[in-house]
Amino acid sequence: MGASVPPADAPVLAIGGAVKRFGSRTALSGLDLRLGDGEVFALLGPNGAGKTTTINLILGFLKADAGTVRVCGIDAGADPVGARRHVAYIPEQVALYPGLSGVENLRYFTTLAGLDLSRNEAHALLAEAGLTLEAHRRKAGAYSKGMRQKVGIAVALARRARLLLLDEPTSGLDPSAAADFSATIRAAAGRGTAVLMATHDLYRVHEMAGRVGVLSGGRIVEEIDPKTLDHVALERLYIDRLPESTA
Amino acid sequence: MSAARFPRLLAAELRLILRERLTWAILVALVASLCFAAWTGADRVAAARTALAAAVADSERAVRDAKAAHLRYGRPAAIKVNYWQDPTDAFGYRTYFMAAYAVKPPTPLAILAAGQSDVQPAVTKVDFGFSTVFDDTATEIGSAAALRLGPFDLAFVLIVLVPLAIIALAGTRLSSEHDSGILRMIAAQPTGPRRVAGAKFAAAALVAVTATLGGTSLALVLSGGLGDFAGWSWTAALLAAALAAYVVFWVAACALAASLWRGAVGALAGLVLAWACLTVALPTALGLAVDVLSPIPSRIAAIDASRQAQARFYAGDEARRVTAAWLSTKLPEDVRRPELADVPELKRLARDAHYDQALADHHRAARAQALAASAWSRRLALISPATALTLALETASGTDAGRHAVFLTEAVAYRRSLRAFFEPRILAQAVTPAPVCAGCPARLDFDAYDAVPAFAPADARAAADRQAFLTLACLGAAALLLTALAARRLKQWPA
Repeated sequence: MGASVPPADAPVLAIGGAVKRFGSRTALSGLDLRLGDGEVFALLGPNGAGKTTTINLILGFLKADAGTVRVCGIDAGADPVGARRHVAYIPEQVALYPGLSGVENLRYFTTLAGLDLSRNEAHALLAEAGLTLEAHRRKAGAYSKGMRQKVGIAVALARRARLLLLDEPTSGLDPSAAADFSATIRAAAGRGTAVLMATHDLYRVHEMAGRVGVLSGGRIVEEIDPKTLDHVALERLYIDRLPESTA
Repeated sequence: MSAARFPRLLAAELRLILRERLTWAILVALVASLCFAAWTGADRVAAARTALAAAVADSERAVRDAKAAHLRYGRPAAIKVNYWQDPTDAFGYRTYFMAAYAVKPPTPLAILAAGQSDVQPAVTKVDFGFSTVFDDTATEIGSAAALRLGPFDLAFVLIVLVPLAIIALAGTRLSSEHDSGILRMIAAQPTGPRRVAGAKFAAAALVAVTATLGGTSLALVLSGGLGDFAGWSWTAALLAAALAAYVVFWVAACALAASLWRGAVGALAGLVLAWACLTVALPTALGLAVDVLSPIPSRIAAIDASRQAQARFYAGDEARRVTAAWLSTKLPEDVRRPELADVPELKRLARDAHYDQALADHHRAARAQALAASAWSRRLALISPATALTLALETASGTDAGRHAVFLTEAVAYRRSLRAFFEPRILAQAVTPAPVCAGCPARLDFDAYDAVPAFAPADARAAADRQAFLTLACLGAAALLLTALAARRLKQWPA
């Protein structure tokens, strides 16, 4: 399959009426979402609301049963590799090869993405992601979750992807690491990268996101501008929107 | 990612695999096993060469002694030499002094594999003494599977242990990444699963093929057990290619196991089960199948038949009658005399011919069984990659059942050629004794010691080339099939 060329005016992410079923269970039931350059969108929802399914659709790991998922105009279901060229993904648990250093892990993952990073470039990216120089050459098996996430961020930075997907990015991070992470993501958004984060961390959502969508029953039931509420009010609103079984 | 970038990805995967301590531990264990196996193989081949050298020395000694006796008995002496003490007589030399051997010399690649033929004698003395009835079929070709449990040879390491090393090296590629979560990071990059898996398993294959071929070459050189290689380089190249295909087959099996996305434990369990089936259970079953498809004729019935033939020959006047009948086929009527039927040498020739005729069916059945067993072994071996490679290595080593079956047939033909050489001379001496000097103690009718036919073993190379090529084709096809199946399953990343 040849590489798809994205239309110049296409939004970074356009999900229209996406439906995904797993047997009798409906994970997404008509999800609509559009994201432009530099936007930070937080997807809130309880476990099983469809956050991970949404991410899997964007990455092309799953195909929607109905509706469309386009990344920079490329159909992620039909051309997942083409769509992933524009997406960087940081999972909840960034897993690295424990026997390789941070530099080596970064160079390995960027090689998969078709990039040739020199050692100096790799060091510079890791430093930009916030990893201390001393840690660059240490084996990743000894890294904390925050350090591993910084390597994940460095991969995303190297990729210069237009869309950054974050899955529970701050869970398990200490406050300092979470603050560092927020700053890095805000900087990326400032450079024009669209960010879609699936999270439960309302404090960080309030701090980072420009738009918040509450996902329930497989679709966004409410979209909020977090700047209009403090994070306590945001939490109350979020709990109110949850189905009774999960609230 | 474009195809042009694949080498870069492959290099990254190679770096990854070579950074793992487990890889080096496996490689060191593999090379050590290969060296030890080559050493035991060299020891085995050295023993075969020693036996062969002893046979050659014995033949030369017999000729030397006979020539010395000929000189000694050519002078008048006060003693008289009986025919069984007389190497200057064609019958006496043939029956009591000649040391003629049918030999099955080790091939230059004999170090590779012990086989069914290898545990049978490599040297058979072709004599015309008292144990001539079944010495061409005195041994039975046993079960290859039972033999396989015996020697720790290179074939054992290459066929049984190398797949385990490959499973340890490549069996959890992708599946361990799946378990640890690294696969999510990999899958999120703009590269399809086929390309990533292709690079990972190609890197594993490169390491495994290099280690196996390099380790085997190193072991062969260190052991010093290789013979003179002249003319066998093509066979060695075919075997190396077949071995590489065998390694690739197992790496492809690892890729197929990974493509099932059952996790590292599931992949390892499946691969070890496949290993047990292909290298232990199936060869054992095939060995048993060969035994069933080519049943060994009753040795007791053959021995009974030989005893009856002997009893018949020596009953009453039967020996004289048989000898007279035999002489009537060998001598023109004008030289036949009734007393010739009582000449002990002619009675022995007639008796051998009588035994041949009486026991022909048993000899035929035994040789047919050996040929059938080797033919079934060749056919069934292609069912399992392990047995296919075993047969290729054994054939190149000259230790396969087929070679022993051929050797038995050649030994019978050699006995016939010796008989054809001596019979006219023995008959001529009986009809018209050679004149000897006055007072000489021996008959002095035979001095053609250097003209006695020598055994010429068949060239094992053509069979080795054929089997190695067939094995290469089969293993290559099997490896391609597994690769295609794995590629088919690796259309997309698991969610």
